[in-house]
Amino acid sequence: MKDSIRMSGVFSKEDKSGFKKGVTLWDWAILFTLILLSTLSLYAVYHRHRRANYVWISVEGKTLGFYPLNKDRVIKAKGPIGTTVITIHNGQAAITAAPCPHKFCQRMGPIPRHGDVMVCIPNRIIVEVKRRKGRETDAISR
Amino acid sequence: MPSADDRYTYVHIKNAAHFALFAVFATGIHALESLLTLPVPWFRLGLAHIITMMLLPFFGAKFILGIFLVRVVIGSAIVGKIFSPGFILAFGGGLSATLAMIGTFSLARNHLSFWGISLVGAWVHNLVQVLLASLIIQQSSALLLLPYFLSFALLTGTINGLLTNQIVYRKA
Repeated sequence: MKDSIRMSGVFSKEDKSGFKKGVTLWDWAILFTLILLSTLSLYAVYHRHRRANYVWISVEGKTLGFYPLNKDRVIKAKGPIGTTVITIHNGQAAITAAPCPHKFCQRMGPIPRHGDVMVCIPNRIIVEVKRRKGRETDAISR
Repeated sequence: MPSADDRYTYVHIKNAAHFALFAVFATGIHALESLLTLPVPWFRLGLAHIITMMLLPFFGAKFILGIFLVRVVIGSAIVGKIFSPGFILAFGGGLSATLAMIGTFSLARNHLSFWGISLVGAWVHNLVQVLLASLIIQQSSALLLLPYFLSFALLTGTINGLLTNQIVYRKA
């Protein structure tokens, strides 16, 4: 029988299937190739995500609007405790004036990368930069 | 001596018995592995791929793919994760990894040990899984996990590959 002949070789000294028994140079070659590819993926993924084209502003859970990042402009968002000023400059968005006491939101900016967020909790404002227009979805999988 | 017809049946019965045996092994390992807790969620060692690799020198692609299908469907059903989004990831990743390992083996069986095959399998598994995940949640930010998963694949691939080397070629 064909397969019994094939199997008999494996446990003897000479592997008749031609399959190597110990770690070979080619194994190391594969390891280093894959390490290189993994490192390249790090670069590719983060480089690709560096660019954001739109900023999405939400006030009290409602969308105030999408604004392109390539035009400099100043947006005033009216929240429950006052007006937050969002400035678009140089392809980045930043909160430049805020009515809240701690000014955390001002210190979070400017944000250039897709997925970056600035939040002002007292004034209920979320500023997020994205690569394209659209609502963000969140997913949990297990 | 068995006649030609008897031998034909004998081979078939033997194949069926082998298939059942290894399907049970693979399913059991697949199911038991989900009891193993790792520090990071979603990370698994993929110990069931050891069975796949052990079969590579002895059986054909159809047999190995069959074992994979049985173990991923029944294993996920036992654990209770079938029809969950995680199942799609496990199925797609495992299928591509199995195909990649069969391909690598048939191309370079004279040059590689199980370590190289395992590395390729683990890497392809994680790559396809992350790509599928970013397709499913319709958001490319899942790709940000790619470098981590790919580096982790090198670790699990090494663990599995060296284990398989030991299991198959250990001096008794």
